[in-house]
Amino acid sequence: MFFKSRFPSPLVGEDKGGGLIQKLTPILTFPHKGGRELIFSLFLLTGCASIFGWDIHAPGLLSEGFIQSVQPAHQRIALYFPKDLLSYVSKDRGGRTADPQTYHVGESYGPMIIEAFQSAFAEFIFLEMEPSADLLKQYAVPYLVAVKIKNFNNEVSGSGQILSLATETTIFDSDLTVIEHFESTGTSDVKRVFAKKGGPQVNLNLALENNIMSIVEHIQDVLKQKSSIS
Amino acid sequence: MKKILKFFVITSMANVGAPPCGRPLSSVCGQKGRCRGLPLQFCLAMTWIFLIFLSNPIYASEVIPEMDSQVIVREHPKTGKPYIVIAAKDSIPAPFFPDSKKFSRPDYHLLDPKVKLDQIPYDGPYSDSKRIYIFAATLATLGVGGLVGAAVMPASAAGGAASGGAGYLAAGGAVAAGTVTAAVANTAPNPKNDEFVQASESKSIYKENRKRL
Repeated sequence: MFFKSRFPSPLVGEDKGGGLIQKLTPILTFPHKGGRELIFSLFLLTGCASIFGWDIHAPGLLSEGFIQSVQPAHQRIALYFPKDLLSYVSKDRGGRTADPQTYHVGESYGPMIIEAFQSAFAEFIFLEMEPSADLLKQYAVPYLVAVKIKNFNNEVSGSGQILSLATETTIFDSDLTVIEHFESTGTSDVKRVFAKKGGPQVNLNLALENNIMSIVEHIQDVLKQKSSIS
Repeated sequence: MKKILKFFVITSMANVGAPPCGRPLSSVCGQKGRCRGLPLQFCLAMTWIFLIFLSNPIYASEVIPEMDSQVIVREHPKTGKPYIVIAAKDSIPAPFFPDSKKFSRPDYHLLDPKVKLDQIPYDGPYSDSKRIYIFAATLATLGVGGLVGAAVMPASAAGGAASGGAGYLAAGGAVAAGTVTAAVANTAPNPKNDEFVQASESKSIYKENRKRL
């Protein structure tokens, strides 16, 4: 219950170009025949555009560069995120003139952050259940990291695309006392991304990886400070 | 545990005062002089008695509440590398990640605008937006052309920004020529602006105030 209240289920990303159906619902009783057809056609086309837009799944793997750049810390650490994170989807099309786009952020972010923790910490434990102080003490876990997605942003411009993912991370000790709470943002700004096969997918992957990189480095810094103090 | 302790106490008590020869006290012993076995056996018995009394508080502290957790090892859904999981104590925990295809690691040089399409191999997932134009063209031929231009224009404009290739021109041209021209002009790549930017930043919003959530 503690975590459910602190880490509510991630919301589906905002659709900047959406909401048209809801707006149209009261207008559908438009008295004029021509107007009704117009609105119906718009409704049909909007729905079809949503179906036939870009459906973007990232590979969900870290790059070789990440694996080589991160030095593993000799630390036992547990990671927790609610399972709902895996279903985080953003329909932010990035501009009024952009194609409908659906970004399956969570399904890639989950495996990637687990892989990152595997590389970054010698003793990594993933919690698939709601953590408690008793649980952490039972398994002698000194630190717990909880991650939730805050926002996913997409900006499609004439020359390219900027994707950014913002997350909130909290580090707890074994008593579930907050040690650190921080926000991380990973951004990828690429030109002509849609021109290449796999461009949007790799761009999404890079934004996620940059976010994860900042999380891991921040955690390692905090734990180094803790160990040097103690 | 208690039963085992009691067994040892009873057997020890039975041998209290028994000589080192191992015969019980009740048996007839022909040895003369002081029996040296008595203090040793007595000490053993007292030790066991002490342990029995001590065992009660030990039991109290040894009682570990039934934890509704279990430790399992899962394989990473993409890499197959095993990792430790603490999960709820179900008989067979459901897989946390849905089945997913495995791909090779992405090479971000693919995103460099100067790198051509076939220079970096890519076997990951991809989506093709051409079908939206095919669908739009189909609708246009069905007689709602006036509306198609208005409704599809945003999509095609973004597609032009996105794909910016021959595929776009071919499909988009079938939709509405006027709007497509504007979109292409808007999305023509400018070599001066071609760059490959990535950033990652992290800022603390809470630090060491020991506030208990």
